[in-house]
Amino acid sequence: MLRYVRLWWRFAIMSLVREAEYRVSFAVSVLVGIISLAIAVLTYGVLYGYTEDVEGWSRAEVLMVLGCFRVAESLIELLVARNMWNIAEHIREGDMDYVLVRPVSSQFLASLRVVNPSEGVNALVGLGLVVYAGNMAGVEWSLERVAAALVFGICGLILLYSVWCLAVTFGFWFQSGPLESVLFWLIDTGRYPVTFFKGWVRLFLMFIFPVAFASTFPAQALRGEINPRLLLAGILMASLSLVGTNRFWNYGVRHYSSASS
Amino acid sequence: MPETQHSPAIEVEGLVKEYEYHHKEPGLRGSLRSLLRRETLHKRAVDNISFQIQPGEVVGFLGPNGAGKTTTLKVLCALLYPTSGSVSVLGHVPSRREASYLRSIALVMGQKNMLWWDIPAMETLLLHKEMYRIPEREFRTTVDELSEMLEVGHLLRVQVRKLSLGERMKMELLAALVHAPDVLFLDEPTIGLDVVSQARVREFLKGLNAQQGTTILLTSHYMDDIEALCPRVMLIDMGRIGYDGPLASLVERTSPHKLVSAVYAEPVPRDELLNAIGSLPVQPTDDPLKVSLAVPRDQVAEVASRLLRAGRIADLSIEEPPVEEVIREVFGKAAGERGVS
Ligand SMILES: Nc1ncnc2c1ncn2[C@@H]1O[C@H](COP(=O)(O)OP(=O)(O)OP(=O)(O)O)[C@@H](O)[C@H]1O
Ligand SMILES: [Mg+2]
Repeated sequence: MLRYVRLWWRFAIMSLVREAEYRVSFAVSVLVGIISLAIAVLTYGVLYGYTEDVEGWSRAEVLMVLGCFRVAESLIELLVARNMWNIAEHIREGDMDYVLVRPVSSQFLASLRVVNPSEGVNALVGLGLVVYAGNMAGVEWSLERVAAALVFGICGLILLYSVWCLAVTFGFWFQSGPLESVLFWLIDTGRYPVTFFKGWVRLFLMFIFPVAFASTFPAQALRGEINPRLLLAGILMASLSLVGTNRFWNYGVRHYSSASS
Repeated sequence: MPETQHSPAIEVEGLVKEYEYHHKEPGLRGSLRSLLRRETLHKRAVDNISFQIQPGEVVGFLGPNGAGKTTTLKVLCALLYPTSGSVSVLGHVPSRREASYLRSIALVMGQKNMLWWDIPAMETLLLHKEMYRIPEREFRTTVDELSEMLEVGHLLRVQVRKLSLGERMKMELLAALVHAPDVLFLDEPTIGLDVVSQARVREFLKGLNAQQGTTILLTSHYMDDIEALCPRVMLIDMGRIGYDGPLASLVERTSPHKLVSAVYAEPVPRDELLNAIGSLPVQPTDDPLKVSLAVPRDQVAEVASRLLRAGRIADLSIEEPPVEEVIREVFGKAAGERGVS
């Protein structure tokens, strides 16, 4: 475990060294992140221009959800997004060869080796929004609430990672699928409290594509609504999905056909 | 499982590897049709091959394009799951993909990059240090040693994309070898390099094998590589091994002739010369005073002495035919059997 942390740290350093070459693109990506967040905040302003309460969420609380979502989204971008976008192509073009030959989990290497450091700034901005909106909503920052929010958030990240990883693993059989891009658009639903959605859509966002664990539930925990059963469900689902994706990945690797070179 | 002293480093028995692929018809209509009804086809790239390689051996894999060389290497490196047959390397079954196995081998492909393009090679070396759990001291000495052998010490901190092709290849070799593997798989490691760089790489590999006893299995389309490095070659075509043994015997077997050449100090009377040549085929030469003959091995001595007697001689040589030619002949035969011209 510690070894994998050190390994990831090397990846982070390598990515930073590389990114330092492209300072402009670094700045641009931070700027884009901040602008898109500002637009989202303004949208909520319009929504709450007419009412103080939507489905039991005040304006400040919804901003908290948005903040949580931004943190989660930025962390996904920081850690895995670039890798996931490329896995299908790497499988198709045979570029997995040098991943599979290493004495390290190939899933870890393939899904986490490229780090996108500029997103770290966006994650911090998101965190800032959580604190700002939380204060506006009158949140008491107790240890219990913060810890629960963290656990929800981590489970949410693991779950989103797993779903994405599951989708790209199919690339070992079908050279590429449209599945990944659908997922990428789906993640945007996390901007809104999951209670805005009804019926099966809500269930879908809680348990099939569990983006709610990364945005709504942490915000709820900060608001003081800590549902122990939901927390337990999150931990269970996250652990199971990690084991499951790893099994599936290792099974997929057997179907890797490289590419003639 | 540790290997015992006398067990082979690599043992392959009845290996078969089939690729699955789909027939795609050209054009939009074809694409749509194959979307609905995909026909799965199988390509048998490696067809029941068996061989053993002892620790410390250097073996060359020879064969025309599409013979199945790369496929075999990839199975040995645990990249491809074999369709059937058994493979054992250093006592491990590669397809189990055990970390201890992957730590003891290395793979270098001349057509692919393992180094990160935009950053100095040293960063990738440090990554390998972490991945292969190389202790600090060992890492330093190995990198020093290898970079000295490859003469790339001054390039370790230069961005990889600024290196020449030859320099980059040497760097790739360095990166592949920092963990001191017991078995090294090389797939066309000298492709695209100039003659000097090719020779450097060859020298390096030779030294590596001599000093560390690294077992090496390599493929190359450059006969110079094979001649210089591989006492033993395996000829593979259409997924089957056609020959396995010393390069010299392959040459002898394929080409039962030797090249006997005489250079005369002065023009020789036509009759004398024709008499000496007899019915043997004459090879074209650009020197009017030089005669070159392809002579069956058992007549070499006799023909040489006839040539010596025919006139005042300046030089006489007896050579094996060029390996290139022999290989061309072998591959040509193989293609002929396949019905390809
Ligand atoms: N990923 C793949 N899917 C389908 N067929 C493949 C694949 N890779 C290789 N093949 C086929 O398998 C056969 C053997 O290929 P391989 O790459 O092993 O040949 P090779 O001996 O390395 O040739 P070369 O000298 O050209 O590198 C070829 O006919 C090739 O078309
Ligand atoms: Mg090849």
